[in-house]
Amino acid sequence: MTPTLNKPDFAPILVERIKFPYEYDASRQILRLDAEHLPSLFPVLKGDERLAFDYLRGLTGKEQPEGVYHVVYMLASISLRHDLLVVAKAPESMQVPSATPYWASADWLERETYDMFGIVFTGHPDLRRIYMEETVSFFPLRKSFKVLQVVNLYDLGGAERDFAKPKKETPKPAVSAKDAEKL
Amino acid sequence: MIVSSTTIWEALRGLLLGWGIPYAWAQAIMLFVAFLTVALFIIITVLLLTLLERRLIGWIQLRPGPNRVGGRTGILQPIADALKLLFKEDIIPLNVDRPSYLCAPYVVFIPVMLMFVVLPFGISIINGAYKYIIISDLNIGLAYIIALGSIQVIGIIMAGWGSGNKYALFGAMRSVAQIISYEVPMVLSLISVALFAGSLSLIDIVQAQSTLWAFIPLFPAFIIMLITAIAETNRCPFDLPEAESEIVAGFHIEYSGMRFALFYLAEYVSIFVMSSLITICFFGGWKGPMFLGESGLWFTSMFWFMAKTFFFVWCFIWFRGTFPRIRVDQLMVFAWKFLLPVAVLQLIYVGWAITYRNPVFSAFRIPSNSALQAYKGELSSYDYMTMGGALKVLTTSEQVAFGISVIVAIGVALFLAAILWRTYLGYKPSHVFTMELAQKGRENDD
Amino acid sequence: MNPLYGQPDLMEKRQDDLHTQELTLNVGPQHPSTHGVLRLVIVSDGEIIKSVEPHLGFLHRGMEKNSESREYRMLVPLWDRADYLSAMHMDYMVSSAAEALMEIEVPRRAEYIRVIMLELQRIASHLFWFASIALDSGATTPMFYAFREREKVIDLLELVSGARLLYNYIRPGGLRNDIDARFIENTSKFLKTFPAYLDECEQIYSGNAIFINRARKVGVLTKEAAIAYAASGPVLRGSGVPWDLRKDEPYSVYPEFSFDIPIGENGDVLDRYQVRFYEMRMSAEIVRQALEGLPEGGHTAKLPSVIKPKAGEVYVRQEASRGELGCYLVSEGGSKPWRFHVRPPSFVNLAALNKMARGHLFADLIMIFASLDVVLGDVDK
Repeated sequence: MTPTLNKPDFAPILVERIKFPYEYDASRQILRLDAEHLPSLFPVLKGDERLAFDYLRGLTGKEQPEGVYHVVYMLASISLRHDLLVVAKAPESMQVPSATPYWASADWLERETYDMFGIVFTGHPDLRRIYMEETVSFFPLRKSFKVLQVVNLYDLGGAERDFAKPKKETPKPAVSAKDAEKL
Repeated sequence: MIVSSTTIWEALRGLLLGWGIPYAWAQAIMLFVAFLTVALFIIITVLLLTLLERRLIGWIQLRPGPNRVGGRTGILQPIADALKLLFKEDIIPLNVDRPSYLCAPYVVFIPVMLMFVVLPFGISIINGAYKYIIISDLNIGLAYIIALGSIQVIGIIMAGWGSGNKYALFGAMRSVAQIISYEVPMVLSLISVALFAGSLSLIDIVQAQSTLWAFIPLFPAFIIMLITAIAETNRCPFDLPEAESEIVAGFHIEYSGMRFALFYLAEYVSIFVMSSLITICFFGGWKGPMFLGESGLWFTSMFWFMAKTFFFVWCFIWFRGTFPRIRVDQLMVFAWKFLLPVAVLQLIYVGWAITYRNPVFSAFRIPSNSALQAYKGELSSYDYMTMGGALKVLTTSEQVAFGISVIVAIGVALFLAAILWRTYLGYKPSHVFTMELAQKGRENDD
Repeated sequence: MNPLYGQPDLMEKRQDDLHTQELTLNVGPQHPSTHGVLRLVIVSDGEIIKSVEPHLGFLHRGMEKNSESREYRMLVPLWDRADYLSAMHMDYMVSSAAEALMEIEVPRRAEYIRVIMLELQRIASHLFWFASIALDSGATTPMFYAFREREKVIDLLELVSGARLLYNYIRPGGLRNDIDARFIENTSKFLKTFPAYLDECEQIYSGNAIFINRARKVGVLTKEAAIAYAASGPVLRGSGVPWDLRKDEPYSVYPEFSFDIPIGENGDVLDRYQVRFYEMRMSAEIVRQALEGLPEGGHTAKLPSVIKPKAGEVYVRQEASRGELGCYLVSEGGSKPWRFHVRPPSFVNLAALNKMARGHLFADLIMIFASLDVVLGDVDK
């Protein structure tokens, strides 16, 4: 069953407060926009009394057509009991303004998105990888990273090649030539 | 009136002298036999204690303890443990301070063994005279035990420092802070026992409880002694030094094999010694109904002593199975801000009561009026009295003081009864939880 | 940067205390407690903690990436292993995400049985949490009492699904198999005695003055901070916010049951403890109501062998034992998900640890961490 809570139509409020182009799907409560407009969207979402989105429950990324990255914000309002999904299209430079000044939960969630996709959140206090090591050179959830074709460390490319032996290597015989004579 | 302490070992010496052995040899043999007996006793007791603890804790935790080695009771389990510890590799880390590291287990273990010298286990009748089952009844028995407990602290510092490990040092410092903080109320409560009995000798303390066991007038001291004994032996709920000191095990983390076994044994022996100290000081030692008559006096007295001691050992084990750990700052606050004032007040109260010749607090041994007037204070002029007789002897002010102490005793008894009644009714946490219930069956808002 | 959200800063009160050298300690990846592999780097002034920084990722298995190359039914056993102590909730998360895009009708009987399983799983998970918080604080016996009860619950779940911990039972469309009369009988027997056993567990631990002193006013998380850090579950409700997804964003057949939601007052360890205990009782109540009103019907909807949801994106969420377990699914109409993101409750709750632990002692840190009920499989995915 789909969740049943308040599903108000935000369209009039958005029309009133937002000046940049956006798409709003009232039946599914999804708002789509470009990421560069986020700094003017967040204060509206958080500050307006009719919206009052004080609960950023989730933040992640997706790469919907290949190569086009979006950042998805799952917002909810505890006092007014409605929710919204904001899908922001990240620019080519992969720099998205951070949501940490508005919601503290964005801290770790943005670190995870950076770790997995490589989207850099400008204005984040401490943007570093959270799941993987700092020296890792790839971003795993990108479609360009084909995990099923990785056989050994060498395939990962980047800094991991320092740890890997070259791919084509004649395997060492189990018994060296000298010992073979003795046998 | 100090009872002259004649021990069964002296009877043994007398026997040897009767056979014509020279005095020095008889003395040496007597001491050797006594030492051997104590060593055997300690080994057997500790082995049984480890097994007892594991079984009892298991039963509290809804499981049997060790029940495979040696049949269903697991009686050979301690031997298996001892063999395991003996055969372990003796690892000495490289950066230890060798003298401290190597001597520390002994400095911790030997004082506990020495405490057995003054513990009276019972009484017997040999050739018509009372002989005490004790190795040597020192005049300062109580102070001797307290002093030995303090030497253990040095051993712990040696272990912590000598291990060359930052975490061991932390654990040792915490343990030392805990032990010396809890020693002060313990000593004060033991002083009130000494005041009650009139002497520091443990046999005198037991004999002073012929009429009334000391835990009735000295009840706060008993409670303080129980709590501080648990803290002294680093047992739960005061086992912060042993567990969870930054998730490592405290001052004995760098010890393995036999050295660790010595720390382990020292803890169990000190549990036994503390329990027997509580029995001797507050519960009348070996006193109880002597059901076997005079010839079986040695058996019944030892039986009562061991029964009461093992009751308190069981209390130690019971507390370990039940309580969580106290935080280190709460531990210190409890010792210095609660136990110490109560112990001091208790001591002042006992001293005041004895000065006013309160019969109950003086173990029914009151100096006669003549001795008091002569102010000789000679111990031979103490008379054992009954309650009625004592009340006749007291002056008016002393009788008033007795009356006040009766009122205080009734107050304390009512307070305890109130606590027990509340426990019986079922403990509800006293602070208020507002479990605000969201609207029952809230409708969908669509 | 981040304002304090009304959070009391204990370090200010300790400014006048004696200060020692600043230590950086490592509470390493291996724990004596059962929380998993988590590394806490603690900067402390003697015993007082200045900052706690969790280092995660020791259990990161790349589940989200793996999900993109597996069909929907294969995801159920995969995500079982994320929060291994609440596997039914993870099963339900995958199933409800797929069903939200498929728009099929799950039979009512299946939904009732799902609720029974979810609530039984909540009881089992909270009992495990109770065992670990008691063990962390030094009391060894509540663990055995809690596990005795948990064995009974796990036996019930083994009856239906065949597994004790990782069930793979709630599948897209319904369930793997129906429940039988033996399960209903055993569950009713269990529910009759469970409140009394919970009272026993409480008797041994909840009233203990030592525990209360270690738990009261320790690890306070204010209402504003809890909402700002997007805490969820008992952490959020312990801080006084009346937000429970079973009531506020109802899913499945929860609107048909009547139950209460416990709300704490101060946001300390004791409140979170009491909230979880009350939740256990409420879960037993919900299971009882579900068993009474169990309708007849099928146990699953008829689905093709390869599930192909419609294209679209959806965010489904449920109230798992640890908090809000959310799943953001992007589907392009194929048999495999295009993007499968899980919002783990433990991960988001853990972010608030630094705020909660500042100014406390080490022993308090252990209690606060135990009261957060973090499972590392959930955090690291």
